[in-house]
Amino acid sequence: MKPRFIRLAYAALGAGILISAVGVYGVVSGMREAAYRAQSEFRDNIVWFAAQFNGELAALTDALHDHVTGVQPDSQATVERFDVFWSRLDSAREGALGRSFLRLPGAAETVADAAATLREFESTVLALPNATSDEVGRFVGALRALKPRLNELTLAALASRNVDVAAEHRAQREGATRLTVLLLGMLVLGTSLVALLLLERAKVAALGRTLAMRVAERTADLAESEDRYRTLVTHAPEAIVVLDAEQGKFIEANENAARLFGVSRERVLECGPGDFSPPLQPDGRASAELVAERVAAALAGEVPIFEWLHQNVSGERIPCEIRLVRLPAAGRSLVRGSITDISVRKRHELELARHRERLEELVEERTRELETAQRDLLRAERLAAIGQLTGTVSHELRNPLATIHTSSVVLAKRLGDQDPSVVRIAERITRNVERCVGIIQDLLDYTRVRDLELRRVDFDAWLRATVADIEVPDAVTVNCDPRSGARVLIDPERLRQVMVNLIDNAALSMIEAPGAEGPLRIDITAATDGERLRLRVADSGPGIAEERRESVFEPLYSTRAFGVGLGLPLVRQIVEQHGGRVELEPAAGHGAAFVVWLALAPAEVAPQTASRSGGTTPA
Amino acid sequence: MPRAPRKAYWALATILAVVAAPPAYPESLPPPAGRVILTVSGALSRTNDEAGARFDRAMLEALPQHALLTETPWTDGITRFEGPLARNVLAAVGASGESVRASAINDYAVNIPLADFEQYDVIVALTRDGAPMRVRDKGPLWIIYPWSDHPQLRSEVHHSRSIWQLKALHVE
Repeated sequence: MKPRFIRLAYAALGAGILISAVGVYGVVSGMREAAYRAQSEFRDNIVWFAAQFNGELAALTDALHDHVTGVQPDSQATVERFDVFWSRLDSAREGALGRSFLRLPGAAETVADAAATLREFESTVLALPNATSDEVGRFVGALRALKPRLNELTLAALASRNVDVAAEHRAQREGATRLTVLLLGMLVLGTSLVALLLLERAKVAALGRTLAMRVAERTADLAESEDRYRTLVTHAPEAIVVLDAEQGKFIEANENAARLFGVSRERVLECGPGDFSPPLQPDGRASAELVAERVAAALAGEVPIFEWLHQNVSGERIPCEIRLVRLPAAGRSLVRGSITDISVRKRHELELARHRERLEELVEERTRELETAQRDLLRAERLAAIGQLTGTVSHELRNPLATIHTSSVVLAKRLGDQDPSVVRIAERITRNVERCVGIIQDLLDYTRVRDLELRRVDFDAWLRATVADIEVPDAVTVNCDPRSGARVLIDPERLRQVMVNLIDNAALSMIEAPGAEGPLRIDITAATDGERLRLRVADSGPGIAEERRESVFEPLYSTRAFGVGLGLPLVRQIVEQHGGRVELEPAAGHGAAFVVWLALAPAEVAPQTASRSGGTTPA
Repeated sequence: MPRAPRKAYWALATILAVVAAPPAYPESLPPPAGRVILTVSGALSRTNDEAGARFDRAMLEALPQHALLTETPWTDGITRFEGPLARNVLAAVGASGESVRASAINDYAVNIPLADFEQYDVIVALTRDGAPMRVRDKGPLWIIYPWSDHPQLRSEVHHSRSIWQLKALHVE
């Protein structure tokens, strides 16, 4: 559809309208005139008009003639006749009928001449009956001269029938022409309208086709996009729902959502978020309240991501992660929720946390073990040194010491009667030799670890008996009050050594303390504490300085002038050989307190032999 | 809307004609004081002369006046004619008959059925465009039909009944 054609069609339309308007005007005006002509029946009128003209002229002439002849002249009637003829002339100059009459050949001249004659003789007529006969006669003459001309007009009027027929033909031709113009205009108008209509219709049809094509394309695009979307949503790894926030119901849900909640998709669409949540979330807040809060946030344009506890139809609680986003929708408040089941992740997180804890424990344990091993190694090295020394020294010293011992006893017996001071000296020798032997025995005991000979004993009874046999300096009071009521599996001889060493240590520390005054007491108690037995030996001495507390159980460590520093290490060795533990109580006020932990005897366990664990056994 | 006032005028004229006419006309017409311009003769019940009823200008002007705006074949454009309705003139003389023979100063004569006067508001015009008509102007009286209001009157017959220079009416 070229625009040139359309412009042309519009131009034709304009021309058609113009031509039609002209045609309508022509036809209407023609019809008006024709109608009036026809209705007035001019032809007859003109003939009659001409005849009247003639008659009225004759009447006037006759009336005037009476004045000339003097036979019954009537002035008033004559004036009337004059006026009547005057009016006839006037009516030839006015109105459609008059105009038609003037169209007769010679009519205009005749009428003009007649009017001039009337004007010329008007005063004569008005002067009647006093006007001169001459004047009147001249007027009559002038009128008579008009008569043949008026006769001609009458004849012409009669002849005008033919003229009128010709005129009618002409008028008809004109009418036909006007009508033709009108019809032509209408034809052009109609044709251009039809052409325009066709052009516009073709345009509209083309537009419609284009539109239909576009709609089809868009529809296909939409369908494809929807397919894509459906595939995306339906097979999405997470559960996807669309919530109508105003109705509080899901309006979309994929298969995973249905699977998560344990119901059909149709059933999901009848529910809201509250139907698949427990009344309270783990943080103690009401689910309904939280849902409203999060949905409001999403509608406000945020993208809230949070953890949520869902509850499926069988009441199983499923930890989930939810991500909300507002969906564009006119007039509706839609929120899309994508829900991921994070129960597996949660489980893994828990396990990981447990593993981490356990790992830390293991590391600590290993560190502790390593430290112990390090300490043991250090002690073992010292013991190895002691062992070597003891191996040679004990043999080399025992025999001379035994000889000295025997010799001093003999010396005392032989010379004692003579000089009592010799006896005192001999006894001092004997006592010191015994101490030396004791030291050697300690060394040997410490280095040569013997297997325990375990016996089940009543601990309280054994403790009282043992403590009672141990000698302490006179200044020291030993108060033994065991109340454990426990039976233990111990090597009584070895454990006696423990008691001896602890009591000696306590007594010596009190006695050797500078300015020791007041009652020197050793309190020994025993009690059960769960599966273990707690033996406590406390003194009222000065206690152990903070910097020494770490080293008291170290071998060969002694602050005393006397002793090799093996008493407490031996205590520890024996207690540990029993599977127990010895520790120095934290300093509280004054005095030192050692606590020995021992395992209670299993009820039905028979006496058995426990072997020492760890350490080196010297040859 | 020229029709509504005209209708109102008609209504008024009719009321005047119907209500006021019978008592308005005494048994005999008063004699004319001025020059007689119309003589009505024939079947009349009220006259003022042996010949019949003679009217001077004042007597005709005393009758209810009616104005007509119309085109005519003898004038150009719309012309205003004014004068008594023909039926009122005949009523004033108690005319009874079928038709009236109208004759003019110029010796023209024509028969007019009285039905024309009943059916249409035909007037005996005294003035043309507000001025009295002389004999030269087709006066003093001219029977005028309401052609513009009734196109069916535009015919040779009615044109011929529109007699000018009217001087006498004879009721038959």
